[in-house]
Amino acid sequence: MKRSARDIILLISMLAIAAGWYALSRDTSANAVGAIVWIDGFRSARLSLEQADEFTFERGGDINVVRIENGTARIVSANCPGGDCTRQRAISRAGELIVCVPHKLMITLESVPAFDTVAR
Amino acid sequence: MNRSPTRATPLAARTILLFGIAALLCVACASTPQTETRTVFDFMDTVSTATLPASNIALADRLFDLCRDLDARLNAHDPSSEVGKLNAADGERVNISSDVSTLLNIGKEYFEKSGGLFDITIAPISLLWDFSSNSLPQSNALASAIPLVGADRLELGGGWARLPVGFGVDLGALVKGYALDRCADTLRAEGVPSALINLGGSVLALGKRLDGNPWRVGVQLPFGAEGATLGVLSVTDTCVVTAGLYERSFELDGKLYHHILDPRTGMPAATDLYSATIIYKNALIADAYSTWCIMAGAEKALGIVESADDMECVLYTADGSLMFSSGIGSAIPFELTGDGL
Repeated sequence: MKRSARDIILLISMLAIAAGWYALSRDTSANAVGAIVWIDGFRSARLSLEQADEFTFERGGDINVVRIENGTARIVSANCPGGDCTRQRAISRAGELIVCVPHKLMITLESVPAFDTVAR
Repeated sequence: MNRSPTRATPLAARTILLFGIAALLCVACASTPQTETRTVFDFMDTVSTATLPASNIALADRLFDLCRDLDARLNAHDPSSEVGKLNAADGERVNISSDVSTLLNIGKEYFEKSGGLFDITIAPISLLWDFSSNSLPQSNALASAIPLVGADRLELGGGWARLPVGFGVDLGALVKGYALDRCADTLRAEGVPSALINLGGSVLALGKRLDGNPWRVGVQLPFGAEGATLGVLSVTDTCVVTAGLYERSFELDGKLYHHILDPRTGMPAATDLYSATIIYKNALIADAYSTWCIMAGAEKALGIVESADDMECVLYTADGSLMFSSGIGSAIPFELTGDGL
């Protein structure tokens, strides 16, 4: 009888912890709305994932072309040695990232909206 | 080091139970919205939103009623409004409310400061323009209206105002800013710690967000899609007001006609600025400066803003360049977005 009560408490607790973990971590598993482009450690741009577009980042001859389409971001071309970054898959979930080590460029995704409101 | 199983099991169960309760509380907190947003479409024919703590959301209706009341009383296009009656007074003294008095005094002050570039007595010209019709006013009508403009001719006394015959005031450049300030007064009087009010694009960022972070206010990319931004300002307890050529404008025969009118020519101001965004604690003053900056052009606008204490600006020029006052990027973080690349 005692063992059975402990088991129930344990089961309820585990379910609650799982639910809590889900609530706290759901942002990181959500579809992203923005891609942040970091160059040399600095946040250089935020690209909306909501509109298809292509952006070229050029710094001192280092070129990376980032394509946004269907809510995803990927590097479609780059002049880095080896071109490893262009072979990384398109990313669409908050927390995912693409790195171009030779160019010190990184793309991360975030699920929070870019702004609370717009002045116009 | 060895522990009795009979003592360890209840302790473990209690620990797990505590974690479970904490986790349940997390779920409860995560699912309770802290803020609520109300949107209306009937203030100055624009979209307005009020984001307030959920416990204060009932105030939103009061704020919007306040704005609608100001809009109705200050509308130069309505002959029955307070301003409409002043404009139709044929040179007679007219009693005015404290709201109108404040706005007329600010209008006169900035007429003088701007050397006549910012002029609230532009009504004889502005009422000739209809930016929804995509057509130009008659040139002879404009020529006749130009001599009827000049805020130096506006007389103000304690509770009264007088305009020369044929003159008229148009407070359209100041109404949203003034309404925001009145909203701020109301919110502060009610002890609301955090709010984000957007009246047709003019923004009051009261306090910080409830999560303790600054409010993030995007600056519209001129002529871009709705919501496309030049960048995002992180602001606390201030106002963000933009004047831009892209609002209320039309193109005719390849030429842009916008609503910021030059009192000297009666035509849209010839300027190299597409937009001027002012960040300042007082929205009414920010409103006046934003229009003044557009009129003055990029080169002078930075100096105008730098000469004002605690005021910052983001300027976007017709050739696609961004210009900032000295506190942007330091006192006020500004994050460039891809939209402006």
